[in-house]
Amino acid sequence: MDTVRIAVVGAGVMGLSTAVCISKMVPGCSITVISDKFTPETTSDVAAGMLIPPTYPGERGIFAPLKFFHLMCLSWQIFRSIPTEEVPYWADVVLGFRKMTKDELKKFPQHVFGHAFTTLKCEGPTYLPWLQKRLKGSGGLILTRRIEDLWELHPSFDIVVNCSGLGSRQLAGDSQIFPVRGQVLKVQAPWVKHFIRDSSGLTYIYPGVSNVTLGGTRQKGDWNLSPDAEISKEILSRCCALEPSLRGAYDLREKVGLRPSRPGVRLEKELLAQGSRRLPVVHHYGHGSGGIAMHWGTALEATRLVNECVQVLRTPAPKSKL
Amino acid sequence: MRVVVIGAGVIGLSTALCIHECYRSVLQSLNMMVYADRFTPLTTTDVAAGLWQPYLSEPSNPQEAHWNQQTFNYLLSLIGSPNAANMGLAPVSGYNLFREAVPDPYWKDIVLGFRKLTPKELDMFPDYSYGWFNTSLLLEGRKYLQWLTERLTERGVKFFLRKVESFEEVVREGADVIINCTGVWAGALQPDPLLQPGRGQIIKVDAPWLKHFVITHDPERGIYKSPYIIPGLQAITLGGIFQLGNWSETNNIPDHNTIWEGCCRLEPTLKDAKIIGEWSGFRPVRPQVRLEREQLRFGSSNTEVIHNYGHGGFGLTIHWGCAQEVAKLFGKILEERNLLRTPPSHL
Repeated sequence: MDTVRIAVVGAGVMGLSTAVCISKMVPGCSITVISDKFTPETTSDVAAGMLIPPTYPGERGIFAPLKFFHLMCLSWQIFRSIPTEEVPYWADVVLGFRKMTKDELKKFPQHVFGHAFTTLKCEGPTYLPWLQKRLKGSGGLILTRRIEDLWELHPSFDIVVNCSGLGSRQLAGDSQIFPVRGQVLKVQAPWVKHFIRDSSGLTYIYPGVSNVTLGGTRQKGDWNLSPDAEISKEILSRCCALEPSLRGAYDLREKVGLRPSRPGVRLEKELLAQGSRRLPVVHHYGHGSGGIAMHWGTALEATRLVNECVQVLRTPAPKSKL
Repeated sequence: MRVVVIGAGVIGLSTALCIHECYRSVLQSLNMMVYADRFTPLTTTDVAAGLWQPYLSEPSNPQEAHWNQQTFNYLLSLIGSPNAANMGLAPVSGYNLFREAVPDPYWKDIVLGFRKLTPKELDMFPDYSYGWFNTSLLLEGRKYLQWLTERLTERGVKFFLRKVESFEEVVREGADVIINCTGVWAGALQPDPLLQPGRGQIIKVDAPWLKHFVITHDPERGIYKSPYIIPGLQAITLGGIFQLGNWSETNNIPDHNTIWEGCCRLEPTLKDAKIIGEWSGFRPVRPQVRLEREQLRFGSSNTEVIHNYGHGGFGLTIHWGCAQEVAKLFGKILEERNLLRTPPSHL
């Protein structure tokens, strides 16, 4: 049986986790991850990495719990008005989900309702190197190269897994994917031990292993990767309103990431054709703000699709009777 | 009025501040001094992890439950002030774990969001089958003592490094009221067979990914004899030692191993944690807190002593309620001596 050569384009959380997943579950293949950017310069490195599922209308998401805990913390998600769905679909997935008590809500005078639950935080700058190490340990290769066209990978590779996020605008000609710009501050405030998130998703405080992420913004269609000082001031002010002790935060660093947003995640096969050339592609991109929260679940699904492609390649073509 | 506070742990300094805040304005003069042979970072308070949590069973003196609650509510009211972190104060949540079902603690409605653990949560702790989750408060000893010292200094209270050998020596220097906050060493000033050291040893580590406290319980062995992990403002405290009657202040290796093995079993990621330091301290154990007045006569002078010691492993948890109670007793002394200009407003 010939080794099936798989190229994974993109080395953010999707590319690396899919590559690792494939290495564990698809026998007889070689895996090469190709990207122009690697940790700590990917979008996944800017993300706080909260496992709080997004509320896409109609998108249930494939939210599979992570096997390895990176950081667990109690979350308070607070609402300025009572939501129509008081208990979200993911209540059973996180730990100890309940409504906040009146006493807890006293801490947030502008808010009338809240969820309290324990969830996980998975940090790109630590997680991605760990994934890379696992991949290399199982024989995977990692190459630095900017791919301008998926056909560049033909005929060196048999299957392409496209995890290029916003890059798919060009690589897959997908006009549905657009950036939602997020600016955050990473600060030192080690006394903060709880996640606090306003239900609008605009203001959040996420303590991490070595810093606290304060956010944020959701600027649709904005491609600007440079931080804006006015926005930073405004983020700090909103976060201090929720958690006044943050006025004592020090060593503030600004970061910007562009969420690869799309009406829905693109998770499907496509057989590219050009003349007689054929290139099976599994698209796995467009997770918007829910990338880290959903990644393992969608990586498993993408791996299943890759497996299907592998089966097709290994099935001998029916010989036409002459 | 000359007031001498003996002891500069959390009890001494908070009581000093409480009295000064309540009575400075209503007294013609208030000359307050703190005498101690140990100041932060060398007090028992500095060794404590700083988590607000009373013992599980109801105290024999119901006043203690009330003082615990007063302290929690007082600290909670300070959350949200920009000074909270400077005081060493922050909310913290976590787990209490048991090997079998136990009744809810009497303080379940004092802490925030108290609930039982779900089966999925218990899966994280394979050695335990029952537990609680709640949000409480962290009051880190060292930071709080520094903050209290600053507040007292601002008010003109003076600090003296000295080992007081007897109440008499302090009386002869002219003290009107003595506040006795000598903790586990109170027996040196006045024998107290009810007071004993409850020796503890703790390891401080750098493990910033740990944001929850995890306290295990083994009712057969007793409180604080089972591993616990308590995050502080910067470092994590690991513990699980409680030895009644042991006066050894040096760290010992068997206890280190007990703590390390117990906590790593509970939280395997600790194997990557860097050890910052290790300390021993003596919880001032007593069946009840001694909080009462006593009149001492030396020659012709009549000096009031207010005792405030014996807070076991819950000093930080109960301190403010006790400080307020001492302030009340102090107020009575002032009334009896006709020293009040106007009634005090704080109580």
